[in-house]
Amino acid sequence: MMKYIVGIGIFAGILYIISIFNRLVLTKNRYINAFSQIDVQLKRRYDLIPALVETAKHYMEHEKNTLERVIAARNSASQNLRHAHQNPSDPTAIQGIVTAENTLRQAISNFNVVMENYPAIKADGAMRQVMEELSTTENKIAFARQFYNDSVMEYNTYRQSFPQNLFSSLFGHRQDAALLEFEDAQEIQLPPKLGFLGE
Amino acid sequence: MNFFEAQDEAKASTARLLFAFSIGLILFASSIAYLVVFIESYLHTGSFIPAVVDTVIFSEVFIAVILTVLIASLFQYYLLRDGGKSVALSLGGKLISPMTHNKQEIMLLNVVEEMAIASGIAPPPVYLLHDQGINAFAAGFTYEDAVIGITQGALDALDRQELQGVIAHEFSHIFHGDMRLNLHLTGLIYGIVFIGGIGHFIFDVLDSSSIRHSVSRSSNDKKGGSLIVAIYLFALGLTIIGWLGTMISELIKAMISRQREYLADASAVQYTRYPDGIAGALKKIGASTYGSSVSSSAGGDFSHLFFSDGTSNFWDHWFSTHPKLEDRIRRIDPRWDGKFASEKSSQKHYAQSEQTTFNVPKQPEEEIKSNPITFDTLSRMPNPSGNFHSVSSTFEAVDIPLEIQSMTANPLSAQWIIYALLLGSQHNELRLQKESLGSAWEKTQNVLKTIESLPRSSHLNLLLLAIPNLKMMSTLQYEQFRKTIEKLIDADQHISIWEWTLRSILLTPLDYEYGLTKIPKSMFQSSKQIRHSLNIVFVFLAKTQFSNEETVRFLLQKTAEQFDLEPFQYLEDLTIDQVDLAVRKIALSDSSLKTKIIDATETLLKYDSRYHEDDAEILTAFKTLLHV
Repeated sequence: MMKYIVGIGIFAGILYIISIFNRLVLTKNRYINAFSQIDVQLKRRYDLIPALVETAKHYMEHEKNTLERVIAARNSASQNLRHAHQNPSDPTAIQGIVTAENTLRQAISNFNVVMENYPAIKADGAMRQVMEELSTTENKIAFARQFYNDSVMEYNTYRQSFPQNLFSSLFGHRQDAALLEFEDAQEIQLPPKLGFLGE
Repeated sequence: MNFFEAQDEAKASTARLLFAFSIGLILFASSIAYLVVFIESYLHTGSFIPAVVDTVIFSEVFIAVILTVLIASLFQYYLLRDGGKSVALSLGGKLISPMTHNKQEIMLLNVVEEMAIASGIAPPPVYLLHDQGINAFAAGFTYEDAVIGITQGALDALDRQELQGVIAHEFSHIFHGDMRLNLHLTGLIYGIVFIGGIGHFIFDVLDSSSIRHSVSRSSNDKKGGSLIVAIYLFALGLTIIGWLGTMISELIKAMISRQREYLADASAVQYTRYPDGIAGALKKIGASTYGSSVSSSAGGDFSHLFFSDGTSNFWDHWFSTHPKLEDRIRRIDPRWDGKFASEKSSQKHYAQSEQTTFNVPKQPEEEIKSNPITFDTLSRMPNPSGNFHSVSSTFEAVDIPLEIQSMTANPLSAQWIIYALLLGSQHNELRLQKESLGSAWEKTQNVLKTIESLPRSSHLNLLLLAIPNLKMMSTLQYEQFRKTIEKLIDADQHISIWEWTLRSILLTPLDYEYGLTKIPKSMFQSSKQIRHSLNIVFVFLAKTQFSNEETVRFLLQKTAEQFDLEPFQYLEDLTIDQVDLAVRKIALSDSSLKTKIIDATETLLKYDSRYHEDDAEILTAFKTLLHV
């Protein structure tokens, strides 16, 4: 009888360790995938901005400067993203994205303020459509970042908790994953409002 | 609100309640086992209290009861185990097409996608219920078959942020498997009801005349008399224990369900990081004259699925599947003053937020009801998600005459329109097509006369208008319709690009609707795995844009770079079948890869900054086949 109990105990122990291994893999893959989502959404936004500017052009001929600044910021951000793609492990590349992103954010925000002076643009159907697209993409970027950080937190907490911490380095999960810190960290706690009134 | 803490609390409460539930089940089985032991003793010794408890009988009955409950619950589980889609349909939901032109629906789908990203689940299909109450539900037992439904009332009354909160709440139900949990509990309760039902059954049998006859005959016999008494007592005991067990387990189930609501509210705050969104939605439900009522007769059966108690007549508080509205709001927003905004001011709030957050302009209610797809929405972009032909090119959809528009609303005349769109020009082809159409030929000819005057670009819109209404066909009608379509396409032994796009756009959603195909599971994460298929598809696309081989090669190289792949090869001859097969393989890739592919496709189609008639059609066909 004792033998059986010990046998069952060992078997259950092995199952438990296997489940720890699998959960580590699951949570790790989740945050890695979460990162690629951010990337996809960033790129989507870079693709949207030319359309936005193109549509706005008809109404804002006298604001060439503002529009050009948006486009320039977009191009630089897009380039930075491509650069980070080629050197994913380079921390300066990631920093480059962050800086370029902030410039772009400012340019768009400025654009929104200027747009306030052109009431006709608000009524334009195509413009509304582009703005809804841009607004959802902005949201998606924020949510993708947030999901990445949530996943990282889940992974780290799981990895550090007892008894997983006894096994995690054995299974090759030696390091905590890094949280994404953006300069606008506080701002992204709120879903970005990209309305006609700006931020 | 500290949402992580609140989630942990709700999860711990659920665990405690589940533990209580299983203890209850054990108590239930033991009381029945005791009942049998007592009656046993009564039959043998005349006294209900046995000198020694017969452990063999006790454990046998105990195990039998547990097994019966489990088997009965499995049976019930099997009966209820329908995907989310059937729940949505039985509530009268209408599937929102990803290609919708309605601005409200576009925003809704965007919000769903946002929450899918925030929760890390693939976006589920979304259904619209035509109710004026503010409500939403999630149904389905796995991530794959989950659906989300929302009422028209919610779309009209909530602003973007509030809508986000509501949808996030539903995503939590999907993410935490709440529908599955509920189903298991319902199954177990059914098992308990079943055992109580055995008691009822014995009473019924005893009531029937033949038994009573034999009872009266054997009543002289003392032993027979006590047997009858024993059976009566057994039936009575079963009924009482069954009733008690059912009440208690229903009670625990309701408590669990309420905890899951708190959990979902807390998760909604986690996903949106914006407590005011979901709190605002709850307040509006409190203020609205319609509340959260859903009129469908099936509403009561599914009350646990809804965002807020789906039925208007409130149960006893104890058995309610949802916590009180006030309690939910207070947990999210502790500083709430307890006043629901009056309806007027909530409307005003809506009007304000419309300006700042770029909401869909509100249309008069009647207009939405009587004519869900208006001219205005039709003549906008060919599709919602990032196709800018109308911005960067000369795309201008032309108004479709009212006469034809109303034809698309009827499933029968909608069929003729589709047939007319497929009619060929060659004599031989037409002859064959006439044969396969049979009696529908004349009608189709009539439709054709009206359509002929319309520009080519309206054909896609016609098709998209007709599809939702074609879903009203019976399965048999659809099979017939599908066969006819295939015959019309095959009439000239050649599949043109238009025929291919039409078939893809039309049959993909319909096949899914009628259960002929399933939405494929994703198999590929990397573009390398589907390199060959991508090659075929992009050669095909590039060739539709340029005839010059040089330019095509250049485009192929550019496109391959987007995927970090070696340049795609130029392919001389390409049949539409090859392309079809390749697209279907690509459809098996995961969502982020798909997004990349669609982006690349759009870039390629936009490259020449000229508008080709079939660009929008091809893009729509791609998106349909990829289920984007």
